[in-house]
Amino acid sequence: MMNFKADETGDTGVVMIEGELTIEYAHELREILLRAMESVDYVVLNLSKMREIDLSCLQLLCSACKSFSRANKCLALDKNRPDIFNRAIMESGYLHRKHYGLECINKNCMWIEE
Amino acid sequence: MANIDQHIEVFKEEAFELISELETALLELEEAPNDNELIMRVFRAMHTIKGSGAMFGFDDLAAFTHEVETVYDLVRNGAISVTKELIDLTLAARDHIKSMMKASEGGEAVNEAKGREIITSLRNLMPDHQEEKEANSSPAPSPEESNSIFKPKGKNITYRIRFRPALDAFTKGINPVLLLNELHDLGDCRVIAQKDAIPALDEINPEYCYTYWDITLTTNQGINAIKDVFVFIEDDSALRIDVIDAGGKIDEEAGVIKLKEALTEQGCITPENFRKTGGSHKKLGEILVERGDITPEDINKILAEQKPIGEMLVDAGLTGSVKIESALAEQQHVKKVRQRQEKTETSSSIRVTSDKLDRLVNLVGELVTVQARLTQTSATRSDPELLLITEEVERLTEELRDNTMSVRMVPIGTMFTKFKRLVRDLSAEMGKEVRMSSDGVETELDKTVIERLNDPMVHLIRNSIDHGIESPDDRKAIGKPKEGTVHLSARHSGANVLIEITDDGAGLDSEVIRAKAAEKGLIDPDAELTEKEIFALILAPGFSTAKKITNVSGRGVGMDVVKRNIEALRGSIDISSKKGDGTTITLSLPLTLAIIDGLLVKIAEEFFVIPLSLVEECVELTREDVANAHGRQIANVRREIVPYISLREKFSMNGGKPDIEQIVIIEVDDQRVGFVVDDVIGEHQTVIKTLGRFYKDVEGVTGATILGDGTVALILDVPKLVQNTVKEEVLMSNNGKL
Repeated sequence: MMNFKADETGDTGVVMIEGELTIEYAHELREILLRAMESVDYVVLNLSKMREIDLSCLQLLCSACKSFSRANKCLALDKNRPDIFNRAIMESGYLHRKHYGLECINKNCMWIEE
Repeated sequence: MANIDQHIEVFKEEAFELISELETALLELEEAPNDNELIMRVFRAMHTIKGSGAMFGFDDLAAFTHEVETVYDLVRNGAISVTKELIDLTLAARDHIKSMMKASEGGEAVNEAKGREIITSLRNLMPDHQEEKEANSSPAPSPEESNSIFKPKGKNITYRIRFRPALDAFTKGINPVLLLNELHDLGDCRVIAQKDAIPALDEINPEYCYTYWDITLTTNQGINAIKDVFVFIEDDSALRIDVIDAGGKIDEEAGVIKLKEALTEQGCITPENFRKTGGSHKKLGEILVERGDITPEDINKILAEQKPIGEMLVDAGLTGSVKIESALAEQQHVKKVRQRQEKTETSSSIRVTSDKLDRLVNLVGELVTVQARLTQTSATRSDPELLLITEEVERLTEELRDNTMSVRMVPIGTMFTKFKRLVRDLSAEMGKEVRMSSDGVETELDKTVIERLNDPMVHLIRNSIDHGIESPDDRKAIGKPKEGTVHLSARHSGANVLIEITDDGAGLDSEVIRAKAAEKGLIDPDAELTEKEIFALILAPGFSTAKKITNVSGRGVGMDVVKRNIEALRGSIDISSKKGDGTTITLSLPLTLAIIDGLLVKIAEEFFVIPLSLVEECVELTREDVANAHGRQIANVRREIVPYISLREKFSMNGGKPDIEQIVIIEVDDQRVGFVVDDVIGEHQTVIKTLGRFYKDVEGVTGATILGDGTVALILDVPKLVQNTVKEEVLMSNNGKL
């Protein structure tokens, strides 16, 4: 299950994901991220109740990062990153190691190791 | 049969090493629970112990280890997360495995109930379906399936793999991450996902796979094993596998060249473009330094200000940051593998029992003594041929001595690692949060010194945790981080090694120590003491400032024993502390206890040895100099006033002084002090002999040595002599005041 809620100011919103984030839900995720980007400037992605994530959805999040950045908007990950997300980005090679000293242009890059 | 026994012995030795390695890996894993490499280290250790154990008939050990290995198989597959509970249980399992090994050597019987308890708790961590699956699988491993220590391994080769699945890979049911996991199982693997082909949200087809990967893999399994991973999808994917390192020697060239190679080989940038960025390696700085136009410091300063080449490439828009990251990862991976390989090559070794080593050192000691005798004898006979041979023997003996000593040197890190567990267990026991860090682990010390240092170090660390580090709530209340730290460091300082134990706890309260010492009658209540001297009181017998006695420390019988142990090693303890900030205890220890370079001196008819490492210079002391000092024991050395101690007076030796005496100037605690002797004979290789228990309390001497002609020379305890003299003088001046 996933939903998007904008706050009263209309500047910030939260995309809340619960359960699985796998290819079956990829289209839904894309739609919701597009809607969030059109609605507000700052979106927080809350994955704390996510149970699984696969590569197709990791790709979508990466795609969303690019789109938000191009639109001068911000997509940030909620600080409660579940272990399953950390493991998925490590196994898939999406993780950026801090010690290489190259920072992502996006200051809220979600692939940077914690 | 004897051959089998020999193999079993080798298995046991290696198993104990693996058990140690397991403890280190687990403690590191606790700090980095998502580190796959560490999970694999734990898994491999368990796997090897299990497999080799089964091979040599240690069936109980194999069956028990198999249970733990099963859990870690689930951990590496992502089915179970690394938690504190898991680490606690695995450490307990590790201890149990160790006790099983010890029991097999005739040690204490294993507590089987404890083993069952650990297994039950581990099984409780497993998801239900896994438990069922396990129940159906065979419980014990076959020796063949094990990654045994005896299984021959091929040469490690590093491959660069670029893997680009077909766009429709997902729809065909292919999960590239599973393939990457298979690669991880083949060896040391670094995976970087390239995301530049992923389109923006409005263009992306969520069912397409746009990601491709750069993988650096070091494995001994051969290229076919890698190809096998991709066998079912190779027709639809773009796959390129190149060998990039076959264990050659470490490239001394600058990283720029390797980065250029990596980037151009991966097709990220053309060599021309790379040159445009200034990446071309001209070594202009080297030429300028050689010509004397600039200094190396200037170069370092400028280089520090310069942006790394990777950043420059990204800034110039020539390539993306992930491409740079991938190339850097490859560079670092190859470097790491080569260093590891070099380390393995250089540390290829044979096992020798320490008894044999001790005998060798004793024999070298005897040889050094005989060589001194030969030198002395040949000096009295004017035989040029004999002199020549003597010189040759002297040179070889010295070389043999140094080599033998170096064989006994072991890095202090082996001891520090053990303390990590101690800190973990103690802090848990006391409800405190303490982290141990260390540096200088490569510092080497004589094996015997390290062995005898263990107990004092354990006591000092216990004290730090028990009395020093505050409880998490107290720390929070005073604005300190909840987690306290105990830092161990080691470094060389001349012929000594300095070991520091630093904590960021409450520090020592000099007022409390002073009051306690006065109460116990250790000091006069009005005594004028420096802070250092007050801190040193905690080393006095029977001293304790702990408010309550715990089973960790605080019985007041510890610190004086620590001091005695350290002094028995010819070392010293220094304490510095700041109330509220923490305490640092510095142990200064000699590199070796067996043979030192000494300066042989003579007073009347007796010989003494002063450790050469402390000697700064020797100057003459004439009767005129003594007269000019008007009764004070000071000498003017190139307009510097140096106090001196007359060893003749100190040791109450009879006989008349020569007209010209010699002052041997040494440095202790950053102070220059002279020792007045009759004559300086010269450098002497000193084989240290202990004085025996009747003389163990004699202050001012640390041992003795036998000279070439059989005469005994005492080795002076220079710091102690200086300390005692200072104390006597303070006492005399106090009495003078009264």
